[in-house]
Amino acid sequence: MTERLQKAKKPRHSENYWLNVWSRVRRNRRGFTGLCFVGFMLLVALFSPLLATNQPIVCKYQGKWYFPAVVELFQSRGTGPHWINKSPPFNLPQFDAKHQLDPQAFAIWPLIPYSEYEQTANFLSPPNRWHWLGTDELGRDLAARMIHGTVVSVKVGFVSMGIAALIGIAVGALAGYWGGWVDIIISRIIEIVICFPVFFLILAIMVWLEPNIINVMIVIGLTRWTSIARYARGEFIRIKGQDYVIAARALGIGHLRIMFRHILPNSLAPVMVSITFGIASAILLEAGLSWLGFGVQPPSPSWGNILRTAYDSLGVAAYMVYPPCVAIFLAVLSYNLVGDALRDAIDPRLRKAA
Amino acid sequence: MSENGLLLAIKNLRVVFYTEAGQVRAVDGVGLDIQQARTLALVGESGCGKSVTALSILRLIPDPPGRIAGGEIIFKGRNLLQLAESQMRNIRGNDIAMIFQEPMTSLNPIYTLGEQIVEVIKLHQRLKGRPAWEHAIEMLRLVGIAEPEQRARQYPHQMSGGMRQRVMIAMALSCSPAVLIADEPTTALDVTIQAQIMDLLKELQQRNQMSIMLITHDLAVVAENADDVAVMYASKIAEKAAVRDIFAEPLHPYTQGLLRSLPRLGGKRRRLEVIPGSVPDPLHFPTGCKFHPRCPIGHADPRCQQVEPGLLEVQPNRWAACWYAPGYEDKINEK
Amino acid sequence: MTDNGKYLLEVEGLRTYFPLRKGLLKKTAGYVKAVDGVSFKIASGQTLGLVGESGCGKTTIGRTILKLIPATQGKVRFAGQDVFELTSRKLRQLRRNMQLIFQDPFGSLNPRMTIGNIIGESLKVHKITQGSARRARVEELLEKVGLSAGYISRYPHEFSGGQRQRIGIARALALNPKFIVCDEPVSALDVSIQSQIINLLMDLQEEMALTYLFIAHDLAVVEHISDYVAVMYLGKIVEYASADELYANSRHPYTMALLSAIPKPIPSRKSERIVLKGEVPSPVNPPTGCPFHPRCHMRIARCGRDIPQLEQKAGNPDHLASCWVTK
Repeated sequence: MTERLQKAKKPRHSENYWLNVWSRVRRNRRGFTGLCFVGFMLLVALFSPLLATNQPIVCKYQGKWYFPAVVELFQSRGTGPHWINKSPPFNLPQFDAKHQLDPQAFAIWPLIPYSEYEQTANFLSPPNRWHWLGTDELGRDLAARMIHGTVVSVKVGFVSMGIAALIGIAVGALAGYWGGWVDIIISRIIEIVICFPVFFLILAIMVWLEPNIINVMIVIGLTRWTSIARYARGEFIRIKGQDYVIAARALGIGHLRIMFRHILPNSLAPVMVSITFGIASAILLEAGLSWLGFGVQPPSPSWGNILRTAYDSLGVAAYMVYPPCVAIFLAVLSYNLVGDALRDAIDPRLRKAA
Repeated sequence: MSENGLLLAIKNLRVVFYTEAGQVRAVDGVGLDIQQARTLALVGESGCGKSVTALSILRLIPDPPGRIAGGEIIFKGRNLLQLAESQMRNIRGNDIAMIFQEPMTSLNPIYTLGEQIVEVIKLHQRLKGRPAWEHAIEMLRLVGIAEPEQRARQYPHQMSGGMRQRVMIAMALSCSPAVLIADEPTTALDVTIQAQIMDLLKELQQRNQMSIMLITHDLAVVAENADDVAVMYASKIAEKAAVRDIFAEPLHPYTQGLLRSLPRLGGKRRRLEVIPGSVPDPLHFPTGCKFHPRCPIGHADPRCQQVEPGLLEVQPNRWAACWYAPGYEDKINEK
Repeated sequence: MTDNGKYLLEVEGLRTYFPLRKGLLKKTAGYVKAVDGVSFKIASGQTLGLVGESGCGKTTIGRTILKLIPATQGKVRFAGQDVFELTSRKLRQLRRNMQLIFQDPFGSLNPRMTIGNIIGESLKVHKITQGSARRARVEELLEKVGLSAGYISRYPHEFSGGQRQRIGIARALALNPKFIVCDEPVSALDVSIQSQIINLLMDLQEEMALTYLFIAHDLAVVEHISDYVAVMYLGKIVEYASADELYANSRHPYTMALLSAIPKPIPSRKSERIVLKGEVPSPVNPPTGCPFHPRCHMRIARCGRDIPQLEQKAGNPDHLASCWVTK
């Protein structure tokens, strides 16, 4: 080879496709705002036991140091070794830290020093110095309930769409890759499932099942996979005909590897958009179910059932309506904004570069 | 060079594109002359700026992200870059027409061919209804489409690539423009169809005494169809001359390299000559002469590395932008 | 077995028809006869050029030979083995010997994989080398095609068309194949890059004793790189000869027209050119008799009735053409 080798040009940072997408999303102002709020929600949900509980984060009681809220954080997340338990007396339910602790003793309290289940004497009181958003009909602090309700929304959003994504991608991939009879049958199944009015189907199922958060997530996941499947199928069909897939076949690479290593990573972009919008609608769906009483049951807080209580006490406690409404609105809005920004970022300008 | 008369003169054209990654000077000081009833070929590889130059004449550069940043385009005594949009619309399709590379996407799929030609006719000429339709059919016949009355009622997807290109030509010629800009008109076509289309263009040029600006990367097409040639590299003109001169004695190393690297029919099986490296990234043009990293002379020459040679007329009607072009030094000293 | 060693690849009577389906589940309304009875042989170490215009079936042949598209009929023998009869495991092994280079430098590389992975994937899947040995091999391949080994972790979109084509070639070479189908490898490249890639392919052929099936529509390029050339029209080979013979002494009217249609980079008064009338007919409804006769400038009455077969012309056993008129 006598030709000069292609010299490496100025070393440019090797750009991954997703990094590229990320930088585009970041630059989109609305999308970035949405993303910030989503991040905020995730943080609130993750750290909810540190933000709203009736035991201090760290305190000194009778000469010893205790970290009850931190332990509670680990326990509720299911992580951490099981032997981390709250030391007595904090592990006793009737131990009321607020009153038992020596006022002189050092203690750092969470932002909202009430737990979501703690009932106080001033029920249905509007926002005041102690209860920033007010209390509900059982005297429970509304802010604490809202914070813990975030956990529900986040969980439902991600888990249900996670289930939907797994089913949808698998189904769509099979239909798109194999084509022929497999595609015909699967497409008809998808069309049949799409024809069901989803909300009523979910209601019907929830009547049978025990209404709790896990069942809600599963049911939403099992009914929401169809649009993901369609996108995945379309992408698989498109990419299957690309030269690099044919090259992989010519190299003797097996079907499974082609599907997972070659086609799937390239097909995720529209699927991600669909998932993001799906999370928004899942949150809305869960709120609706809880409002109707088919979702998360009281006393567990969910934005939907908080809204229900507000609705029932509308005459006396109008202030209760605002927090859940605003929260649901903002959550759905931000996921939609992120989805929009993501969709703009992936198509078609990046198709040229990639 | 025969003095047919200068029809369209581009002087010092500069076009800039604003992209996320920075400013791109797509066209940087380009000057071209199009003579009456002659064909000027603008040759260059992808990314050199030739299509942008063509689009600038008709002011079809999308703004944003592009912008015509300077220069003049004089057509029939007027500077096209200073006309109002309504005046430009009068010129487009009427005095200056353009045909494109991809006949598949250049025709609107939901209208019949006849309708699309009639649209142009109605816009620029005082014909309506039946006479306009007749004129359209006449144009189809002129470009060699058999049974034009039936074809006019068909849709683009029912025709082959060569046919569609003919229809585009018919559309472009329906108002007898003085200048036809053809942007890679045959690149997407088979070689036998290419021959048909190029012959057709020549015939129409004779008939209408029309000027053609032919944009291509195919030097062989240039040899057979052009009267004057301008070679573009990385947003600038590297060399300009009449076609015989350029092929007989190319002055710029880029042109020389291009000609030498063509596999010739009937040539012996030898190693092809090569221009090493590749076309520079418009975001990171080299300093000095943009061709110097790939140039057999220039890659080691400090002057070529630092100072960009301008386009000078080193011989009558022969322009080159290279420090080592014969006659270049004299020309500088003359100044 | 047979005269092994002489011919690496033998194709006999290959037909690839694509059914046209109409209606919801209904079957064929007709066939697109993309490849319609093609036979040829390529000797080891040589290059057969396959030329033709769009719709002639040349791309389909390349993929059918590699069994990427199912053939409707015919046989393909590689080093004596019948490719179509192989079990899938044997086919996988055979795949290591027969590779493909693509036309489109922008679609032939997976945009989400680094080029190191693209080139090295086949090594991983066939368990040829592991770990650092594989990396060394990938770097070696990169250098072989003229790219710096430091590029190994970059992504395809960071490279130009010519460089991507080199990466595609490196990928094809990874398994040390004996036979490579080059499917229009330079058509999408700039003129100044084309010659680089052609030289690279020729160097590699010499260095690694490769056999090429070189598919292209640019006759000048094909003549340059090929030992023998086959001209295709509507799914059939209409002429076959050595490269020099074909260009000096073509014996089929279509070849003559093709040769005369190619613009030559010599400005001169236009020589007598055979300009074909009409368009390439659709492969669904080929004309009766000789498929070329409607556009042929030399046709006689018989051409519309009987299909000519490939027969020896010009007294040269290696020069075949299917024409009633020429000798």
